[in-house]
Amino acid sequence: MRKAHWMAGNYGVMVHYLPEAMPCGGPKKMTVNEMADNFDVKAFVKELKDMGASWVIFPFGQNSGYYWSYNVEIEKRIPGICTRRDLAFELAVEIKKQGLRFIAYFPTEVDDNVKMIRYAFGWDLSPDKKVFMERWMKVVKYYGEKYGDLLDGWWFDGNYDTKIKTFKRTLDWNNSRFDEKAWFEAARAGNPDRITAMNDGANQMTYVFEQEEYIGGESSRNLEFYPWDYESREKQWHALICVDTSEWFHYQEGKIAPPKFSDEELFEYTKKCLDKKGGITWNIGIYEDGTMAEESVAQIKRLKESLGK
Amino acid sequence: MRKADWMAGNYGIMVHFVPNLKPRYSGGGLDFNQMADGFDVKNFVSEVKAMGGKWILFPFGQNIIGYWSYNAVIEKYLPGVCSKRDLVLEIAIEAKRQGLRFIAYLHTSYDECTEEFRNAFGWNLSSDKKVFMERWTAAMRYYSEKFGDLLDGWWFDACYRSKEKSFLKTHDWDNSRFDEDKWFEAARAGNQNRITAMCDGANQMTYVFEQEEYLAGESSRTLEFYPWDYDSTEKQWHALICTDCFWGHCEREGEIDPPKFTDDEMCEYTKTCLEKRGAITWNVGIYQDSTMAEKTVAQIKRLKERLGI
Repeated sequence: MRKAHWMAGNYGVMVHYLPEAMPCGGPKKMTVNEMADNFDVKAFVKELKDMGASWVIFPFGQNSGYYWSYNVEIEKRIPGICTRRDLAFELAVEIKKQGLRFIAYFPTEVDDNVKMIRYAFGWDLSPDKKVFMERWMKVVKYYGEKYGDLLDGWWFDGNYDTKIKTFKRTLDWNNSRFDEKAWFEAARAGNPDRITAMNDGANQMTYVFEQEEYIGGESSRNLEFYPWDYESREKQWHALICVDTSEWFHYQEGKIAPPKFSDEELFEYTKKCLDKKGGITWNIGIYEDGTMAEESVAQIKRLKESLGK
Repeated sequence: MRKADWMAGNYGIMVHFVPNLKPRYSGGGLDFNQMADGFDVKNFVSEVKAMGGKWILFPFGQNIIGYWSYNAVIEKYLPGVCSKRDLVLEIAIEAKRQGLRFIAYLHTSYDECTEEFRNAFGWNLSSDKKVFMERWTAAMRYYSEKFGDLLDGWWFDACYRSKEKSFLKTHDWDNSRFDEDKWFEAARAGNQNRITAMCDGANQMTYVFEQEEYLAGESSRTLEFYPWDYDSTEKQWHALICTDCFWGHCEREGEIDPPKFTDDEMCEYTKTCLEKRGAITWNVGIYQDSTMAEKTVAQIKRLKERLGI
């Protein structure tokens, strides 16, 4: 049985809850610690369950200079950039309590992160990123051991070949920086059943390493990709698709944009993918206060009904 | 069935892991956050289990310096006094994983705290402690809701009639400061099955409020008290007894005092109490590095063997 079998024929929800997230109206109101303090964990997880989600992808952090969960390997280099409330940890507990799975989003590079973090972790020291990778793997391992069976999976971002991905700040690095064995050992620390995907960019539907259990499947706004035949492959097919905001997260003033797909489009696509034992994660816009885009939530609830889940 | 029935005929382990613990070796002192970071959660919980402990009694904090778990209400009044690592949450999760119950120690007075703490929570404002009790009930409720079913019980300290306690700083307050219904509602928030004991001092074997589910039973170093007849009462009999140092290893550097009781004394006493459906919590000395006193641990392991647990 594939380790990622629990994804097959199901969907989850991702939110890009980042310090830059804006409120529903007006200018930014909260600091990062206020955001963590005000996040209603129970209400958020209940909403996920009501939407029929079988898992949630939530960021520990995303090159914004802050992390939603304490990590001594981060704090010993830059004190004070993990939120005072261990928000992601509390979420993981509640998610498990409600019978869902928890996948953490985490970047594997800090190329676009704040200078302080690039410096502290040695990102700019050399193109082989040797020092950085040693330090960053300790961060991953710390989270892995701390969460144990509360962390069911990783969705690692930024596994790029910068010759192809020219949008990065520096363009002299690629995935040869990974020691595959050591990396996956760190990723599975505390839970050997934990699954991992390494995203190498949008609309690739590929994987970087043999050891990945499911594919990152970043699909921008497309409903173009369909699962392959599972009889012949070991990796779980998975697509990550944003349903509302065009840029994954809500960084502009005002209301989050409405869903991009009609109910018919969304329902038909989902049914086809799930029938073929694929897994889909719907990215939904989220406000500064931790509430999700109402129209998208309502649409996914209708999806749940249409599937009879 | 009494809510505290799971205690009957069993014993648990308490540690006074407090910020002012003395190091085992001269010059080996750790600060508050270093102590939290260095705490080996898995090893600690495994050791309690190996001793036959059915529950862990662990402090959120005890009048000194800070708290081992984030609490937004406490941080509002006293920023930075919660450890960066949410140590208690990690212990509670691991306890549940290993099939143990978790009881939290928390004080209910700020009489012995520093002026800064007393002023922040309004302890000095009036002898009815109205302002303090409102703030402290909110702080306690925060932990209750956050931990939910990870928190099986409270052991509240310092529920004193201060005129009787010469060691206190002030002597004009008593338990009339509690709004019983509000206090117990907060104590049960997030988990209606949670049990509560209110300690009114050592060697009392009494309770303060009707709503308590078990006796705090602080028994200093004596093996004098025995369970009553359960057919005639609803409360769970319980004794909390320190086995080596006087609660916390706070007086001097070096090794923790050896066990105070012989194996025979301890075994005979425990057997008699447990057969009468009583419950005992053994307080075991703990060092700054989270290891417990080896000789005491060994003694309780022998107790487990002799009892055939």
